[in-house]
Amino acid sequence: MTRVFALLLAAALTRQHLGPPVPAQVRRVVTLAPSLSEIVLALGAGDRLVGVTRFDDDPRVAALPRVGGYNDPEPETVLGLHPDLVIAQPAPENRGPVETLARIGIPVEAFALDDLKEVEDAMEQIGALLGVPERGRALRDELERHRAGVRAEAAKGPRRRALLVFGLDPLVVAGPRGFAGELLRDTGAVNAAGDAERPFARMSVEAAVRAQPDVVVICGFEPPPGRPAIPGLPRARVTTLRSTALLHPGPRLAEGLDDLVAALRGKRAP
Amino acid sequence: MRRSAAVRAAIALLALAPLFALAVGVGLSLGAGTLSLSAALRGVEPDATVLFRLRIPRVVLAAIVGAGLSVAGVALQALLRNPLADPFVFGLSGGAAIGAALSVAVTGTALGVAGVSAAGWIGLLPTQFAAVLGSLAASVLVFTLGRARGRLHPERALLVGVVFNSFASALVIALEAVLAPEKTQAVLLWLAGTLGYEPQPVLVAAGAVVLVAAAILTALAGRLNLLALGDEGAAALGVDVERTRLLSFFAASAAVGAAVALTGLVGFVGLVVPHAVRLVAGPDHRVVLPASALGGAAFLVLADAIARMLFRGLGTEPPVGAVTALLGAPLFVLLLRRRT
Amino acid sequence: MVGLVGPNAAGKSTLARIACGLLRPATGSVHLRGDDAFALPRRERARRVAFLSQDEPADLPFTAREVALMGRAPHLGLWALEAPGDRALAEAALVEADALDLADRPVSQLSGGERQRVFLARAFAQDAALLVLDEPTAALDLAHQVLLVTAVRRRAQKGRGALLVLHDLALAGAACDRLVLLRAGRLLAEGGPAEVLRPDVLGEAYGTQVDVVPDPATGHPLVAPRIPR
Repeated sequence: MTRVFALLLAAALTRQHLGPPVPAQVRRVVTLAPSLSEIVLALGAGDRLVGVTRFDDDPRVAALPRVGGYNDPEPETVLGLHPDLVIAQPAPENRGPVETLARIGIPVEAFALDDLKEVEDAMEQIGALLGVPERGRALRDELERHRAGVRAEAAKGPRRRALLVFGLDPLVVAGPRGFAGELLRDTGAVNAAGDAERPFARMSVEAAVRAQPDVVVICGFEPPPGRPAIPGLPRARVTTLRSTALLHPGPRLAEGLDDLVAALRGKRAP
Repeated sequence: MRRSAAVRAAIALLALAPLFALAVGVGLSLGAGTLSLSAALRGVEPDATVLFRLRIPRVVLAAIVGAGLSVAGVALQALLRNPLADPFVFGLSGGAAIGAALSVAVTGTALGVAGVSAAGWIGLLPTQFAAVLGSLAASVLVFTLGRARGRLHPERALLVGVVFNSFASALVIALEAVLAPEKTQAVLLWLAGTLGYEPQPVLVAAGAVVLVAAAILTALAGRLNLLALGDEGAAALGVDVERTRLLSFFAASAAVGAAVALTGLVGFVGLVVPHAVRLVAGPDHRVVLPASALGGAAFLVLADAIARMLFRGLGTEPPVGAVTALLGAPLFVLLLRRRT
Repeated sequence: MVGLVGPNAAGKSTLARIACGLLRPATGSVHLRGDDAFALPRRERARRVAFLSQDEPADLPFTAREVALMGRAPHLGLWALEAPGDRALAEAALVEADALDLADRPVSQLSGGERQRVFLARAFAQDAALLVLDEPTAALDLAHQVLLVTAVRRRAQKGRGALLVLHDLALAGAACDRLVLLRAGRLLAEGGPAEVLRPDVLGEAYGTQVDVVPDPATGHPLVAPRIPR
C-alpha cells in the first residue's frame, strides 16, 4: 500500500503546475536548470529565453541575465524579467523559492527529469507549452530513434560490464533506474552497479571492486592525476568523458549516448 | 539610576526605535532589483509586488527572527547565569537540524509523503515542519534529562544540551553520507541560516509565538533579575525559582523553535545583541528584554539588507547566518572597547 | 533580638534557613505570627521574613541601589515595577545600613564589607517583621559591626524581630536580648545572656575553657577564651 502511495506521489510530482495559469502565448521564459534551457533551445524557442541559472554554460545563453542557482532563484530578479513562464526541476531544496515565485503571481511548470520517459515527456510538454508541440514530439522521436539504432548495433557486440561514475570521493555511480543507467543499458553494457536503488547512488569502493567492471567511465570531470581513480581495479579500463552531455538530461542525451558508446569501445571520447 | 524600570525601558525603546526604522528603510530599499517606492504605492507592477509580497514580508521575517533569538538569548543567559549562552545551547539547534536533515532524507518514502501532507495542512514547508518537531523533541529531551531530584538544574540541562548538539551534528553528517549528493547541499544551506520569503499566515503565526514568548519573559524579567542572587537569595525574596526557570525555558524554546523553523540556524544574534544591550542599558532584565527584542529585530533586518547588497553581484540568496557574524563581530568589539 | 550561637556544625545556619522557610525540617513546624510558614505562599512568606545569607553572590552587575530595591520584590505586582514608595523605602534602607555612598556603584566592584552593607540594606528594604541574619558581621570591621547591630536593634525596638547567627560571643552578649545555644544539632541552652553565657555552659558547648566577666560599663557578660601562656 505504501509503495502504491509513493508511486502515485512520484507520478504527481513528475509534472507540476504552480501559480496562475500559463498564458496561451508564452513569449518570455525563465529556466531554473541548464537542462531545461537546452530543451527550450532545442525546441527552437531560444529567443524567448529571458533568464537562466548561473550554472548555465551554454554559449547561446551567455548574454542572458542570471537569476540564481538550483536552490536559490532570486524572486525579485525573476520578477524583474517579467516572465510568462518559469520552468523548474522539482526538488525538496528549491520548493520554498519556487512556491514563492508562484505566490507572487508567476506561472511555474516543474518537470522532473530523472529518467528517459520523464525527459521525453518534458520535451514534448514544454514544446506544447511554447506553442510548438510538433517540435517537442520531434525531439522525442529523434531521441528514441537514436536509442533504437544504438541498441541494434549493441546487439552485435560484446556485453561489457561497465561502471558509470559521476563522482569520486565519495563514489557516485549511475544506477539502472535513471536516464544515465537507461542509456548505459542501450549501449548493451551490463551496469556493474545493477542493484542500486536510485538514479545516482553512492557506492562503496569495496562494492565497486566486487562488481568487477571491465570499463569505468568517468563522466564530465577529470579524475585526480597520478593515482588510480578507483583503487583495487587494476585490470579495468578507465576512460573519461569530458563532455557534459550526459550530465544534462535533455536533447543532448543523444550526443551523450554516442559519446558513451565510443568510450565503451575504447575510442577516444571527446 | 533613579528612574523606574518602566521609564528606562521606554527610554531604551525610544532610543532604538529610530535605529529600527532606519534598518527597515534600508531593508526595504535594498534588493536584487530596483524599486520605486512611489510607483509601488500607486500599484504599479512589478514594483508593487516587489514591495508588498517580497520585501515587506522579508523585513517582517527578519524582525521576528531577530527579536525571537535575542529575547531567547537574554532568557537563557539569565537562566544559566552564563553570558556565553546562546539560544541554541539547550540542544534546540541540534534537534532542528536532525528534523530538517531527516525531512530531506525521507522525501519520496511513505513517511516523507505523510510529512508533506501534514506540513502542507499546517501551511509550512516539510523542512520547516520537521525542524519545529525536532526542536520541540530536543527541548523536551533536554528538559527531562536535565532534571535531578525533581528540579530543573540549568547547568545539567546545559551539559545535556551541548552533548545533544554534538550528537545531532554527528548524526546529520552521517545522514549526509547516506543521502543522495544533491540533497546534502540543501541541508548545508539550511544549517547556514537563510531568510526566505514566507507566506502571510506563517509570518503571523511566527510573530504571535515570538510576541507571546517575549511578553512572558518580560513579565518574568523582575524574577530573572532576582535569579542573579542565587537560588537561595531569589527564593528568600519570594521567587518560585523552579517555576520561573520552567516558564523561561519553554518561552525561550518556543521563540527559538519558531525562528529556527523558518530560517535555519542564524547564529550570533542571540549571543551578541543581549550583550550589546546590557553594555549600554545595564543588567536590569525589565529593560534588557524589550530592548533586545527591538535591537535584535533591527540588527537582523540590517544584516539581511547588507547581505543582499554584498551578494547582489553573485546572483544568489545570501546565507544570513554568515553575515550576522561577519557584521556583528567587529561591531561588538568596537562596543566593548568603548566601554572599557 | 535573638542570637543563635554555638560551635561549628551545630546547625545554626540550617536552623536559620528553616526559620525562613527555605529548608523543610524533617520533623517539627515553623510558625510565623501564628501561621504555618510552609503553608504560606512564597511571596507572603518573603513579606514576613527577610534573610541575609552568609554567602551572597559577589559578582552582581547591579548597583547597590538596584540591589536594595530588590528587597521590595515580594511587594510588587505582575510586571515587577516599583512605585515611588518602594524607591523611597530602598533609599531609606541604604541610609540605615550606611550604604548610601555606595548607591550607584556596581556591587561586583565593592569590598566584602561594603557588599555586606548593601545586602543588609536589601534585607531592611524588605520591611519584614522578622529579620534572619546568618553571620552578618563576618566581613565587617569593628565600626560597621557596631553599626549593623545598632541598626538591627533599632528595628527590633520598633517591633521587628531579628534572629542573628553569631560567631562572636562578645557581640552576642552585648547585642542580644536572648540567646539560643546549639551543639551538634541539639539545643543546649536558652535564655538571657547571663543565663547562657556561663563558663560551665560554654565549656560544655565548645569543649574549651572560657572566662566570663561582666562588662564594666553595661554589665553584659563578656566572654574571654582562656589561652594557656
